[in-house]
Amino acid sequence: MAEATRTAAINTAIPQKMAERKSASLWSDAWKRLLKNRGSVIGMITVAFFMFVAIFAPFLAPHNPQDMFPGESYKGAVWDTGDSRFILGTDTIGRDVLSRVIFGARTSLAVGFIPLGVILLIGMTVGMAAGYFGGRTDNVLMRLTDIVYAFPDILFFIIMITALRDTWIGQLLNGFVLLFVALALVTWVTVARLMRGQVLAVKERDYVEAARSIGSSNGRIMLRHILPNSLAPIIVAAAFIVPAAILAEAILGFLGIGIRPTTDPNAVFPTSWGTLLLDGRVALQAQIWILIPPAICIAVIMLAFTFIGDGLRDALDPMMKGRS
Amino acid sequence: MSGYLIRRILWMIPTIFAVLLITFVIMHATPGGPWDVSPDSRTSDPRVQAALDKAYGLDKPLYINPEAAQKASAAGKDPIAVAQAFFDTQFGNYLSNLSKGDLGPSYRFRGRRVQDVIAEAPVNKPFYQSRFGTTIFLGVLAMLMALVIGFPLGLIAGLKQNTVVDNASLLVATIGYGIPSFVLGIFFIFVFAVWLGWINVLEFDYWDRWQAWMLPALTLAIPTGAYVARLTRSSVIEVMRQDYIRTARAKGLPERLVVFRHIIRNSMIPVVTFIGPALAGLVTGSFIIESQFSVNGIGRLFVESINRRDYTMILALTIIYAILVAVANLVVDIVYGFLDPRIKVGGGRT
Repeated sequence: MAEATRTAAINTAIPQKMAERKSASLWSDAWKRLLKNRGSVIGMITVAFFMFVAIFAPFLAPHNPQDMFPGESYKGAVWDTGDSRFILGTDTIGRDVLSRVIFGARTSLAVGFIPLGVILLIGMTVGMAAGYFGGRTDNVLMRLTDIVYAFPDILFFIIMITALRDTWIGQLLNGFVLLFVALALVTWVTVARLMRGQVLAVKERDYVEAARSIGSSNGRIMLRHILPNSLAPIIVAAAFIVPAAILAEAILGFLGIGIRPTTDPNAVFPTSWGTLLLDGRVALQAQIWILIPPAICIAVIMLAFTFIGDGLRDALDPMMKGRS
Repeated sequence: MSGYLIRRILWMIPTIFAVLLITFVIMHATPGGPWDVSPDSRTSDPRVQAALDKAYGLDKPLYINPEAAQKASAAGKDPIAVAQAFFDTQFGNYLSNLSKGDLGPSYRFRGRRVQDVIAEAPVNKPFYQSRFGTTIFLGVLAMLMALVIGFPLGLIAGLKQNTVVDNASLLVATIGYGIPSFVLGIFFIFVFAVWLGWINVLEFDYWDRWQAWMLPALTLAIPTGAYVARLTRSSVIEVMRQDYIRTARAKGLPERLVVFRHIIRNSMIPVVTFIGPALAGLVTGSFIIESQFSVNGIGRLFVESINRRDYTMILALTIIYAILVAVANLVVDIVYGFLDPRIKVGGGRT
């Protein structure tokens, strides 16, 4: 009797236990670890905040970023002038700095995220092919990476953009297309090389062997077995590609070869933080608050991505925790 | 090992050639030319431009010259002369001059060769005060600063792992690593030039006042130093887990000796190998800092040459940068082999 109740108890207890512990995939585990990392949570909130600002810029900005206020140029910030219409003052031709900084977030985030998809797609496809099939593709890829790595990235961007700026490619979408192409050309190689290394390691695993022995096709093995098991380092790399692109845009803008300035009052991307830095540097003595806010924004968003990237690395590879 | 090294060194040649070719192609795909009349300069006569083009060989075709080759062969010249005529082009002449160590005439510094603009010191100054020397000096100074800041910070953090000290220095290092140096430069200019008024970010000779170097070097050094700190910390943590550290402690070695003789020495390996690419990165990455702080080095020259379409200067500086990066990577491979005998350089296929 006692035996029977015990079995019954166990029988009822076991399904409860099973229900309590849901099957946890690597990804949900990693997500939980990421949420426990204070730095990366703050980083994600920061990036989300900038995204919010970028999307709702027209509602947040006190003025149209292209509106010029005659006779109000080089106005200082509100704490110097007491003029609450222009919280961060105005620029050379009397445009509201705060509004321009708010709209600048759009450009930076667009440059950070839009090319990423293309970069990942090209890089992962080529890396997969090179790692899986080896041979000539592999050789060509490795030689190509040698060449790309011999160029300091930013020098390549500068050369390419100065050279093609005035051609029709450089004019497309105010220079966005050229910037995206330059970013993609340099960065896909890094992704491809990383992917290749992952594929080389993963394709020797037993489960790939098993899949092959039951007659899975190459395509199925690549998509169902190798790809998901190679993703972790790519995700971490992506978290560093986005800020690198944002930084590149800022540097190019600062050198005066960023996206093209526009005077269209309805422009979606009227200015960028990099361009604002250049405006601010020219007006260094007259109006310091053109220069400082975009600099702070760039610093904050770079920091946010650094913390996210660190957190992702720790979350996706718990064995690596604590290493740099 | 030596076979591997020779292969590595030989492979640098096609790599640098490719860099040169890519730069050349891009620069010459531009619609404009070096004598273009920019809106803010005086107008020039088309005949003057044609004469300049001829003098600098810019009227020749870019890559191959079949017409000249046909003429030469029709004139009954020998095959070598025909081949020479075939490559009597802008790119061909540039390569042939390059092989003689001549980087060509600068299109903007009238009457001077590119190598002189880069490597010659101003009149009556020692040789190291050239633009190249200035950039190298700034890079080395920044590297030293980065090591002096980064290594102790990382060491303390690693030794006191998971304490308040560790968390604080890791936070500092992450912040320093995350903020790009040119944004730091802006903050420094704001604080020291605009707010405190200590320095004057205008044209002056850095070699006259040693204090002037500190700000640009520090700006350049902070991200690298922060990275060194992170690298050192993880390396120290790794080393402290090793059996030989436990052995050293077990045999009663004083903690001071354990730290200095075993932990520090072994945890320096990744840091030392990082110096090569870091130095290359500092030297090649300093152009924006040089522009910001008016340091008269090759980085600033590069930015100015881009705006002035000084083709030969841009090509030359790109080659110099590519060589620096390639050499740095090579040195790392070699040094790694010396420092850690467990790593066989070139042994086995990787």
